[in-house]
Amino acid sequence: MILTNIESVPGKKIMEHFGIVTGSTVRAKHIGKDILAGLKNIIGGELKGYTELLQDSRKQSTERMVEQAKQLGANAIVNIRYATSSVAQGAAELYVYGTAVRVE
Amino acid sequence: MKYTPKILNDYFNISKRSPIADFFILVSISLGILLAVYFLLGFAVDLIVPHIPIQVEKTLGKIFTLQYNSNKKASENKYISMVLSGMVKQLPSSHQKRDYRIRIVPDQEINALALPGGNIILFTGLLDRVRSENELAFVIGHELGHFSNRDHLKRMGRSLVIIMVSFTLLGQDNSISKFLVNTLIGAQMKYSQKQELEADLIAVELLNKQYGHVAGALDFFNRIKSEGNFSRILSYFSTHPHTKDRAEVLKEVIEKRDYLTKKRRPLKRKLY
Amino acid sequence: MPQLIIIITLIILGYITGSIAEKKHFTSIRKREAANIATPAVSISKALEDERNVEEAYLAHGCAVISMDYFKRFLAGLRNIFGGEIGAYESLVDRARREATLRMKESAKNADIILNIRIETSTIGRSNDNNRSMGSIEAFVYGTAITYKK
Repeated sequence: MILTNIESVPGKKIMEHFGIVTGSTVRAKHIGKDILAGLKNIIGGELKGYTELLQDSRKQSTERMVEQAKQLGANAIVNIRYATSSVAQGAAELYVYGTAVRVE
Repeated sequence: MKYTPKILNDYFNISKRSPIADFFILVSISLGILLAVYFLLGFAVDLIVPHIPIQVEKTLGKIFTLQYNSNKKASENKYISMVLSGMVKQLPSSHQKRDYRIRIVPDQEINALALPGGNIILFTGLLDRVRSENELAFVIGHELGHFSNRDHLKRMGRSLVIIMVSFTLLGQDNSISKFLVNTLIGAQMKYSQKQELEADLIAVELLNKQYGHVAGALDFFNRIKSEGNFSRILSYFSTHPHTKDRAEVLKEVIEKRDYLTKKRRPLKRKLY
Repeated sequence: MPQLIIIITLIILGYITGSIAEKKHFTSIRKREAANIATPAVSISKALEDERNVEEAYLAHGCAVISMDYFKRFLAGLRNIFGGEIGAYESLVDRARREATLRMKESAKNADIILNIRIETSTIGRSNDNNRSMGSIEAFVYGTAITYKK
């Protein structure tokens, strides 16, 4: 599966498209990590726990999107956009969408 | 570019776990953890409390009773204070150090509270049901018994533990902490029953020393039983469960110790 | 104790009504998605069969606000303690987005294709005074609707 965030796959011609495919996941870290992050907020620096959380969720939502594209018979997803929203305290929502296409 | 319409049979964006199973697993895990923490810390409280000096308790009591002192509705009654001081004299000398004081709070609740430092709160709902001086003395003796056993500190420590645990763990969602705290309070009831019984035993002893007989000790229990007005006495049961059992145990103790039952002294004045 | 009874009642009530509403909504979404399958919505702007054949181009949008029931809110709160996937929220945001996309397509009934769509999500109805997070979620979808010359 080819993933791009531009209108096309350079060097390949798009034959047909299948409309939009989406992937989303909502995840939370356990309370211990939340407390640690709260402490880290005092001294600053990277919140490893949350970086990990977002990384994992991003991976999973991408997988979900790719799974859909596969079922539609696509071999590429173009013009992908990622969005993060906080639907609840301590929980991260990762959302990704793109257009499923078949390239030659 | 050609468009090929297709419908997805399977949807991937929602995890397939059953929410009900998830719910029960999570609730039981969190209740288990809370219970464990609650009992461990509770035991620690029980270990520490008997060693708290009365001086410290007095200071604690000052903080604790501030709200009752500022409550203008709370009043004191000379007659009740007289009965109290009579009972206090019967206490072992180590427990006479507290500044015992009784405040009357207008409230329909049939209950009495023992607050740190020797402060006793009597609700008018309870006073309405008192018919003789002996009965009043028994109620006061019961609260004095709580002081002797330091139940007031233990209970305070325990509820403090509940509040602390739920606050640190569940500060984020009110409904969950309410749910868990309410469940835990149910677990606390059984523990208090033992404390209540021990306080009753001390009360009977004090009553016997002060009046030379124990008439009036069982009156209150009998009246509550015969009153049968459940909605009004519900609050009494919630902190003083199994009134019937307590009355039975008390009766047995009275018979075993050959305490006398003589004429009750009527109430000399209005209680509030 | 009465408080506990109220909470349990709310949870049961929330579960029953919430799952009925969700089931109904998903059935309606699937039906309408099938009905609107002929109008594709894509995130790219160059998906036209023939550039010169366009008769009309206009902005189409749709939005939906979905709230979650007491049971789900409770469950999500628990999940927040232990960590992991919050399935309760996933179905919520999914419903909001699919509904918003459908409303966009339905508002552009004569469109042949909707280009360059963007999807935004925001949380509304969150009260600041107590920490009760999450009231409802808003999804907003917009794109350029295109109709071909007949």
